[in-house]
Amino acid sequence: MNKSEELLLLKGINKKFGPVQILYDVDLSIYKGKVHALMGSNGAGKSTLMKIIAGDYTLDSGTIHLDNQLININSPGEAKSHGISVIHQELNLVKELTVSENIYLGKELTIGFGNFINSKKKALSKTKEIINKYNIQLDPLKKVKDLSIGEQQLVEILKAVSEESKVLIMDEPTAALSAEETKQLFKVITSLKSKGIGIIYISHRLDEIQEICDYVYILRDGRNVSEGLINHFSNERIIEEMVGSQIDNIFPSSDRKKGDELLRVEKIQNNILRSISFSLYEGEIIGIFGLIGAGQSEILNVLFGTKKKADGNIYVKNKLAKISSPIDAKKLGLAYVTENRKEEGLLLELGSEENMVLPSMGKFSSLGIKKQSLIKKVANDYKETLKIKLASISQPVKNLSGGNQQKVILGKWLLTGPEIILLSEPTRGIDVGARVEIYKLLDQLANESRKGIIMASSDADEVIGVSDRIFVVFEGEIIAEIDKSEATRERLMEFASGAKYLKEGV
Amino acid sequence: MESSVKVEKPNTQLKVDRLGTLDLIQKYGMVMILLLITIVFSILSPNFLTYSNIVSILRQVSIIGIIAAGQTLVIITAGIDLSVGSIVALAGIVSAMVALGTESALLGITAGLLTGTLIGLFNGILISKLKLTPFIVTLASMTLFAGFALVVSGGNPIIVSEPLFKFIGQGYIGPIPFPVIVLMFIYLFFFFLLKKTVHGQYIYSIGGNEKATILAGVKVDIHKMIVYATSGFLAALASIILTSRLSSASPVAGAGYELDAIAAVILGGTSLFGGRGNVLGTLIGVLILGVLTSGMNLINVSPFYQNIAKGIIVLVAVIIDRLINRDK
Repeated sequence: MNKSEELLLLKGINKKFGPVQILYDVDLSIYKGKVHALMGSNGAGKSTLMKIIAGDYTLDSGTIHLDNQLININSPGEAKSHGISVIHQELNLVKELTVSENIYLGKELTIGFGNFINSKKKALSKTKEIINKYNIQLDPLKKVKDLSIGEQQLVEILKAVSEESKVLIMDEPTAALSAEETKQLFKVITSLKSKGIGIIYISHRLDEIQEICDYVYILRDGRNVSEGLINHFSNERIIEEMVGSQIDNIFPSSDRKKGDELLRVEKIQNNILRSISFSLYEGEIIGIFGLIGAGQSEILNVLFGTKKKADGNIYVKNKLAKISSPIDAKKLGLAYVTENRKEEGLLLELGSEENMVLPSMGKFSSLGIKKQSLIKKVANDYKETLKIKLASISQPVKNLSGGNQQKVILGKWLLTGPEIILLSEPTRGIDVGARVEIYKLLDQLANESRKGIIMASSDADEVIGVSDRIFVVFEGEIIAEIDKSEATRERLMEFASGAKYLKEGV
Repeated sequence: MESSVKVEKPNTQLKVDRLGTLDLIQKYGMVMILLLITIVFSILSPNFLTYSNIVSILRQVSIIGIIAAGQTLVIITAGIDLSVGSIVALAGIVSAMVALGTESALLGITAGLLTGTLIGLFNGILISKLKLTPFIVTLASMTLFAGFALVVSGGNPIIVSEPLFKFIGQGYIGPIPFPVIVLMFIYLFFFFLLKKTVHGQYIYSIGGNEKATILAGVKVDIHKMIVYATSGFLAALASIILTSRLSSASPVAGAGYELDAIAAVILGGTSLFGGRGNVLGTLIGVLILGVLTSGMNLINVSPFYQNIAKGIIVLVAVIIDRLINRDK
């Protein structure tokens, strides 16, 4: 690429935490109007590098040039003043304020004597200007709490570009977006590119990387291993470079045999779901695919008793089951790995041992007293079998990577000895290495331990790769059941978007 | 390099793990502050570090200490109990009246403890079943039961002089005042409860992430009710010790105790956001407040200035603690 279009140049970046070196002589060049994928497994050093650019960490040695000028970044404020902004996975917006109030939060436009008066009108017209400039569909007067996640993210982006950002770091921007919202985001990214903004794009979703990025950097164990134009990088090559060895198959291909019926759902209805009926068998994995909000997680919520059903019956092993709370569901042998690890899955301040035994304290206590040594032993066993990487089982789980956190949650539910395992978006935000392990685990659970598994996911490749049967959900209804052998991305999308449904009136 | 990047300081992390918990470091910070002010007062007053003064400090802190133990449990669940001061007032009045009416100290004590427990349970039911905010529920019951105490007593203190009743607040076992023994027992018991029991585990879990705990199939409502009932019970127990020590129950006793108890809990390193903390830290917090009061009395600081000094020292202690733990 042309040297003159170089925007941000990092050279020979080293960073240590105590005795542990995280980055070794890392180089990175960001060009004007290009999208740069930064890839690497958890622990490769991506987030440390990004935090150095964003001013959260300071580098030990190395240089940063912006527009051919040597700069120092010692704090997030300095990064901002140089025109570097980060769109974090967790959005930082004030929900009760409107879009334009949020965009101008902390830099209110003032008028009048002594610039004393906050002019919301001025902010509003400025906001409209930016919205038009980047071709975004958004009502600047709406409160943020009334926006979808996708729209909220656009507000974050607007906030950044309103500060004349030159470099934009996007950390897993599509993790919580529906397919439609992702499309919208990509349109905005294209328009940001055309205005000369350089973008660093971090994602675990390879299809997105291929679609939106121009250039790719791959880090492994804190070092540059590979870089180049995206068209020279197939998905397989990216994964190999990230992992450092060949992965034959992301999805395990075992020949699972269906057993007896474990679960039968008959005509479940509520305000979201419409007449859901299906059966789940031993040794089977059902994938539920749908766009975000289509109702796939609602099905799991009803099965686990966190949401109410208005009508319909659930049978567990041919017996009518009354499930009105997770307590009931657990007793019937159900387990639920929820979508939001941090909000619903983990006790972040506590160690993995305490997290793992939480739902099965009954087994690990007598007369209300915990059996400490048994808990330690079992937690250590699970740490080994699930290959959870951590310093100690009492280390707070908030310090673990997403993949390891998810394994802790899986361990927690496996300890209850479930027969039916429900999972929602089980690999969201998890790197390829841990993903492969989770897929393998799900296969083993179905194939060898004869569990029945229902997995809801908005990742089509994952659903096709893991499941035996796939249900596509559209507006709260299962509108298609597709066998693994006949499933393709396109077919799933066609049903999920409602196109097929509306065309054929299934 | 297998360790996750998110482990920001692997070296301190290791050290922390060896000691057991993060709280321990935090606790040591406060222990040092306690030692520091103890040394300062021993220099300023020769009478400070005498056996009789130490025993008297312990006896004085026993009341707030017992309340603060319950408050610790509540705060670890990410709640708060503002009603404990009013429970002190009402439980004292009830136990004194019942003791006088039945001429049985035991019945009086039982009635007092029951009153506190039931008020706590009342708070707990509103909070867990109706999903009301702990702050609002206990603020309302603080006013409500302070009013009850005035109505029931007609606004007058009630004198009790039953020997058994007197023993609780004024008696000794060997050289140690009975309230101090109760205090020690309570702290040992709740230390054990939090560390070793399932209920204790759930208290941390609820405070750490209530949603995740509900999804784990834990009967969160019941455990929360037990926690508030425990807080009410302990406030009533403190009230009986107070009543016994003064040989009378006052309908305005206990006013402001909730704030002292909360201050002690926070000094002890328990997070107001829940999920973190322990009773030993609270005990240190209680002792810091007790040592301050006693020391300032000994060196004749006017009560007006005592409040100012206490407020400043609480702030300074919390700031130091923040600085020690800033990297986390």
